[in-house]
Amino acid sequence: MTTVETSAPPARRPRVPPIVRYLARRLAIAVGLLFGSTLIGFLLVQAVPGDPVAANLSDEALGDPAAVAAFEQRWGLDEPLPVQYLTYLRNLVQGDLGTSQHTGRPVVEDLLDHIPATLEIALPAILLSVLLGIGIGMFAALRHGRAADQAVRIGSLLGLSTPPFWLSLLALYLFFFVLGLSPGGGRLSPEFSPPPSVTGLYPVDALLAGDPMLAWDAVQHAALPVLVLTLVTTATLVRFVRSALLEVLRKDYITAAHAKGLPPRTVLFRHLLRAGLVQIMTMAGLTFASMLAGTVLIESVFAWPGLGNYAYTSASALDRPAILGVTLFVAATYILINLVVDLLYGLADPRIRLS
Amino acid sequence: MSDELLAVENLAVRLPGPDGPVPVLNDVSLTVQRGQIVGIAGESGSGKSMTARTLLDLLPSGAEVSGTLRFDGAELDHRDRKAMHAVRGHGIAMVFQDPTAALHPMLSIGRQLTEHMRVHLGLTRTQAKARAIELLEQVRLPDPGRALRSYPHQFSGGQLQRIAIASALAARPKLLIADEPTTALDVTVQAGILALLDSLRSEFGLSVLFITHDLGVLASLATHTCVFQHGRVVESAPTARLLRSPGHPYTRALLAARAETAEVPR
Repeated sequence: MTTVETSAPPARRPRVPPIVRYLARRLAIAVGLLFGSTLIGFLLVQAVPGDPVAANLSDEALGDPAAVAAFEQRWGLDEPLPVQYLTYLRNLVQGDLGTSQHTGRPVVEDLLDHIPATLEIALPAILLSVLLGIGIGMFAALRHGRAADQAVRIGSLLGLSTPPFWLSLLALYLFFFVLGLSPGGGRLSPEFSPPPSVTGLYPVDALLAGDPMLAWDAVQHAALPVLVLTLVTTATLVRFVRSALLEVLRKDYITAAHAKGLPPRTVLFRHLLRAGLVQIMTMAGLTFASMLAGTVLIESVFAWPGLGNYAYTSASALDRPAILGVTLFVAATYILINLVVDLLYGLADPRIRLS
Repeated sequence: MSDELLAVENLAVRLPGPDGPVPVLNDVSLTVQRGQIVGIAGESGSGKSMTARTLLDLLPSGAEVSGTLRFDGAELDHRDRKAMHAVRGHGIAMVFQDPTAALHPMLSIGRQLTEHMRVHLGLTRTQAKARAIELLEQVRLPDPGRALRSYPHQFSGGQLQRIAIASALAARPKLLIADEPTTALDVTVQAGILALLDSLRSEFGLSVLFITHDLGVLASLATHTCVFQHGRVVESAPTARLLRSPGHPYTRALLAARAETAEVPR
């Protein structure tokens, strides 16, 4: 970048568009954050008690000094901590997160197995809750102070204060045990086997493989966790959208839009929602990131083999490489989603785009 | 009375409050002739802006309105949603006090100038754009073509007020309500905006209802002035006479308040 700047004659140096400068700055910050999170993650995992050599090698291998030395050399465990960290970084750059001592498989493979399961419930849940959140939040904001608004506020407060795991248990009890509408926990019924993996999302892969029965079974299994996840996040989003839009509704430019005689629908969607969307996007992004990272309790109740479940088993087994792998994935997810939100910000708001 | 554009008779407005309805306007009557600038003066909270908002049906929900509003030969009925939407922007348009707040920060000037034109006048995109450029020339904004592609944050307050006036005029209204349009601007910029409004009146026969807390501003601008206090019209007279021999003590107080800071222009 510096070479481009110095090599171009100063008189004809092309002016970098503000949006490009903005994006470059965001990207640089994201890379810095990612680097920082590897360091913090690495140091935190060092604080976990336990000997990684003993934990990763079998008793037989532990008796063989050559095997122990080979293991220590591969991970640089015989080196001082800063060198170990650099080794870890070097392996990380090559896509190697180590081997899980609990599953005995490369952590990367484990993650790739569990992430699609989490996405399978997080994607529909975030879509539904953003739509519901904007719809209900807007409805409440436009009826500010009236009965409908109060009902929405009380409803969302209830949703917020209900523990997700309890909601999961309740949903399972009601739909599985009492009504028999849900097939219960897991991603598939025992008589089915997973479809050939393309996207990792069972309903999609089953349809791609031309097996609608399998797809339907997968959808039925995903329905309850999606429902619980949607209820919980919708409650958060409704409150956020409502207060964001109430703030915009007080602005002169909304009154001015009405005074111009625009159809109410135009004022609502083009003027009101447009102004509130920037804030709503931020919240939706953070909510999605937290869904990917923290659905541990919901996933455990539904025996859903997602990232939350993997994090839970890794933590209880003191599986250092796996814990670090999950930590890095979650950090990277947050950073990536924030980056995407920043980019959308730049596109949505001319004040960022042009100055 | 064919010259009468707006007639407000015995207007009363009550807004919902924590202890029941609160009266904000009482027995307000005023008329605006075609091509005339009428001033409304009074302190904050005297009901000036509330009158403007009532005309455009921009009151908060739950407001109780009584009295008669006659505009351009027909009665304004707030219960008739469709008719109100047609009047807003097309019959009566409004310019707000703070131009930086009254324009949407994320929509281009072009979009904000043309959207209601297309609703009210049924223009195509190209026609609307051509008219927008024409309007920006009328309000004497430099480089109108470029301005259409720009956003509010790229202009100064005075320029934005000119854009807001252009936007108010876009759907060819017969009456322009200017709610303290110069209060948020520098004194030198103020004079330019006032001159612009006066020239729009003389060139296009536009009627203006000019709201201000500053009686002196009206001296050279408004032919007729109504003085508001506590939601009532306490004095209504031709501006020159009202400034020369104010009849109501409140008008005298308003004039005195101004005389302390500046000369009353004649």
